[in-house]
Amino acid sequence: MTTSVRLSLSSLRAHRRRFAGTFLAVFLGVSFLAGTLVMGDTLRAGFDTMFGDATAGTDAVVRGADTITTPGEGQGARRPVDTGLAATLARVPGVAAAVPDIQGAGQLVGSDGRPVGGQGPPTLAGNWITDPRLNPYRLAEGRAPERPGEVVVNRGAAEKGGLRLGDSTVLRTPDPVRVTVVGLATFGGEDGMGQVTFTGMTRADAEKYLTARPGEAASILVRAAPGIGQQELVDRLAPALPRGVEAITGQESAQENTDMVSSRFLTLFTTFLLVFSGVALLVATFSIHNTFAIVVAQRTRENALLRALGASRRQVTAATLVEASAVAVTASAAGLAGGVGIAAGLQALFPAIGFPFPGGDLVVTALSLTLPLAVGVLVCLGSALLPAVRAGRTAPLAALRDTAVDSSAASRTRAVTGLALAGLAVATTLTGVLVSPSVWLAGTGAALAWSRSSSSARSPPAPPSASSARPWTGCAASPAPSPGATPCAAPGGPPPPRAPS
Amino acid sequence: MTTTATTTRTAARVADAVKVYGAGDTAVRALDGVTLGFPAGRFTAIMGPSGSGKSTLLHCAAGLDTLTSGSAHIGDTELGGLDDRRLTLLRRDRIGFVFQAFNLVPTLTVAENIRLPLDLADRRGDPEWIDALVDVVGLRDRLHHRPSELSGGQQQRVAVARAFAGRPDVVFADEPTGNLDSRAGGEVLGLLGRAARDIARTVVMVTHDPVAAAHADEVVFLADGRLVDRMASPTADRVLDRMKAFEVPS
Ligand SMILES: Nc1ncnc2c1ncn2[C@@H]1O[C@H](COP(=O)(O)OP(=O)(O)OP(=O)(O)O)[C@@H](O)[C@H]1O
Ligand SMILES: [Mg+2]
Repeated sequence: MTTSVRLSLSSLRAHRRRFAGTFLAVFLGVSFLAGTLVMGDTLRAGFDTMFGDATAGTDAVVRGADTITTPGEGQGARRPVDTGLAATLARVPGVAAAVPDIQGAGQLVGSDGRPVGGQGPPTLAGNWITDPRLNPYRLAEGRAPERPGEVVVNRGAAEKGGLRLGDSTVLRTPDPVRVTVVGLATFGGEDGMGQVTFTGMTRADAEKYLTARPGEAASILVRAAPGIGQQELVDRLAPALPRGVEAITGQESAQENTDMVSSRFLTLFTTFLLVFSGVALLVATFSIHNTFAIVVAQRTRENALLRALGASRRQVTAATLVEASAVAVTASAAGLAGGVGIAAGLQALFPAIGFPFPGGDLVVTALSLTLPLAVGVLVCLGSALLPAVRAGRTAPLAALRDTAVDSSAASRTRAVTGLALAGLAVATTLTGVLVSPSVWLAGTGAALAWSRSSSSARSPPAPPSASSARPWTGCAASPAPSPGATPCAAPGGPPPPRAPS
Repeated sequence: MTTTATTTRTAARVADAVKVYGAGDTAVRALDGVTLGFPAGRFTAIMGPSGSGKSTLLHCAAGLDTLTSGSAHIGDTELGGLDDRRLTLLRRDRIGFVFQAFNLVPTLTVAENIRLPLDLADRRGDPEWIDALVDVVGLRDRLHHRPSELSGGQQQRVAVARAFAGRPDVVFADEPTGNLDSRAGGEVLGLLGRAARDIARTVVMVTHDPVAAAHADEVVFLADGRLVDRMASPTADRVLDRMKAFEVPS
């Protein structure tokens, strides 16, 4: 063991408490980062499963080949296909069933006269697909719509609107349509696809009310006859398709859905956690810099003594850096555990706040562990570098002088900045925790709806503005301990005298 | 009384040493042309009124500080020509220090503190020598204690052991007994004297105490940054008389 290492380890042992704030800041930053990554992977896997399950019976999807890019939309909408094509495709050898999937916007009015879902998640309507294997929704209660005006509603929406089987209400498409609830449906085993409301009408009603012209469908869902693979089915469909229409396998379609949800919802979600993690790491940077600046200042005499006794600048710098890495590694390692804990906690929290979290175990990849660890250690070492170099520059004579040791204005500025940042971080984090569920929900809804109705492009994604507009100030006065507070409270007077006896 | 160290080899010396602190109106001439050699294997005491430049002389002779003009040598090495790295190595390998206070690294044990210069040099040193030193300073039962668990006298004894651990050419001590009572101070002085005489080390010590100075082979007197007198084979009484002599005129 080199002298530098031993010096820093014994110093760490002796000053454990001084590093508590630094430890906490690094721990939080790494936790958020690791939690975000684990959560992202887990959600992605969960959505994969969810879409995979819901559309398991769909072997091919026939849709407009080109996307029409409309301003304001990230990805383009597709041109609708002719509902009549379904009948043509049903006659292709190897096709067991082909049904049009008509989609549009439809907001239910609840029993209290207020729209279900409010301004938040998208409200969708479509034709109730009678082939149960092609319909992503499952009938849970009641029956499928048969006569004009009869609808199936997803159970979550019905509960929210206080609608029961047999109730009559209005569906705004946006023109008001009188409807009667005859059935309740589930999606992927849950009461709905996130907070999205879905109303399933008869095909005739859907054509009449939901699309610009009758005979337009978002896509045609095709089921293969036994023994026919998805790719084989697509190959067989191809010759029967008119120009401008394409067929993709059900798997590809599910993958696209997952990707679109990932690109919208997950991005939103991870951005939130990453912002917290960034703030925490920023606070960590200041906290570490501040702590080490103070440690180095308080230890001026000790470092000067080492220099007087023949320690090179590099040895003194190294001793400080070793100290920083020891803090970094332990805090980051604890942060990894914390991150997995955060992900597990969110997974448990989601169902409790009404968001049906796609099931499945936590997905912990090597990247979600190594990246936060590396970031934690680098941030720690990076912010300790300057104080460490300053430690190395200590003049040996400082050991012999009894002058008070640095508590310059600069370090006080640092302390104030650190304190302010710590406060901001706590406020941000708490606000985030408080508002984020609704933001996530709104965001999820938007993304999910968007991915499903991208062809009709009728329901613009709801902005998560309502929730993010909540003021930040509510949390600022929270008594929660701030990560940077400990080291910030430390500077000021000269170090305690060390004179023997 | 003003004899010079005759033909003996000098372990350390300064020539025309001038040290000016600050600049302009606030400049302080702490050393004003001192020429002085410390003979090898001898115990020299430096005395003088407060502010006379004793500590400054010690620091400059030991490579802890640089002279404004003049030269300082350790053996044949001119300190003015060394960069920070070489000066550091020279302090580590050829010089021992005992300061008045704060001599020990508080987080290291007694044993680790004693070995510190050797460890910094990645040298094993001479285990028997260090073992003997531990006995000389009487700290065998304190080796695994931390400095804060020792008395002031014990801490200074650790510092003395550390100063000699690497068998340096010269050991400099700046008021090593300043904070100690007479008994503890006597122990430390006895140690320094024995080290010089028994094991032929060069020891240079700054002190205010005539009794401490009497342990030395020779006393040199500084006043206002100049060398004003030297006294061989000092006794406490004679040193006291000499001190009184230059307190009166100024
Ligand atoms: N870093 C410094 N900056 C400015 N002046 C200094 C500095 N160090 C010492 N001096 C001045 O140089 C002169 C000599 O100081 P020095 O410490 O060498 O005296 P000393 O003989 O050791 O005194 P004492 O017995 O009180 O320790 C004093 O006037 C002192 O004020
Ligand atoms: Mg002095």
